[in-house]
Amino acid sequence: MSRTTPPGLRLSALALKLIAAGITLAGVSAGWVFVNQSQRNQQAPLRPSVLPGDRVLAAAGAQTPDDTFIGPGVRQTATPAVTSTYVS
Amino acid sequence: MRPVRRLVFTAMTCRCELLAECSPAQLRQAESRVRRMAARLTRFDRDSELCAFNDACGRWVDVSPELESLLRLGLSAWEQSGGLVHAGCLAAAAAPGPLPPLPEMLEVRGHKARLSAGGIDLGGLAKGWLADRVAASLGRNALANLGGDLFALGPGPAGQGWPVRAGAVTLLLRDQGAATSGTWKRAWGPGSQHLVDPRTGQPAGSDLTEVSVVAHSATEAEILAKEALLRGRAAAPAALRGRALAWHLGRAA
Repeated sequence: MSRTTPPGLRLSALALKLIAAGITLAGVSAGWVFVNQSQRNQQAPLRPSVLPGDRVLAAAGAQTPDDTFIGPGVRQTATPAVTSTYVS
Repeated sequence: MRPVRRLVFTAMTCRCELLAECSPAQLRQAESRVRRMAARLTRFDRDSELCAFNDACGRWVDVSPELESLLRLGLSAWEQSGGLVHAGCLAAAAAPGPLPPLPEMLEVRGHKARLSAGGIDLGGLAKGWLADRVAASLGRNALANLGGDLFALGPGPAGQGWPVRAGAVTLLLRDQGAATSGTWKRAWGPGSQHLVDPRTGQPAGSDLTEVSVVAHSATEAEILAKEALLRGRAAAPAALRGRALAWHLGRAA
């Protein structure tokens, strides 16, 4: 006696595969959107302060954990220093 | 924009740097000015004007306009810092214990001054005061760094400010001063760093090893850095807030 799958059940299996693929695609898509939105949120506050050649490591007025405070009237830079305040 | 020239030399027992858009002759004139002032204000040369003033303890003596300005600055720094920046700290070597208030030791009237006890050490105050004036004498785009007390005037070498290392960061300074006060570099002897806490008359027992400050002038930065160092890590931010433009508090590792 041959064993055959009822046509209704074959249809249901195909539908399940399509639904699963859709969920995966939607999840990947949603995750991609989330990650990119997060990156945008992190970058946004820095953009107005960054000038060519400069790297802003702390937002103006921020007190960082290493006890460095940079007020709004001073800009941090990645440009090599010409001199230092170290006691010499 | 003309090229920025640099002159490095040793004066006041420290490394001095002058950078400016100016002629080599102007830089050499500024160096001479630093050396002349250093010779008059040092406490290590018995022939200096400061030593003569300290030796005349108890008497009213005529003082030059420069020494008069610095003595008045010493009194002002003592007032501004709640008594922590004390130009009369040499008294600690002679008589252990808390230092008397500076106005009880030092009086300035007109062009005369009188020291009633101890001795005056202008130290960092003189460096900051002189850095402000030397930078201004070098034109509109100049930086004078006298042993870590510096004033940056004008737009700097690239037009965005003078890039200056201050503590853990490099900052662009324009018409601003900076200074670092530390306990790790200079010492009066083994285990005895140079900074005296006037509240005890003893070497400072701060939990900070160095403080770098940016302010509107080198003089102001010097006063604030020294005060913050003596106040210690917990109290320093409150003391600096609203008075300093930027700061770095360094601690022992």
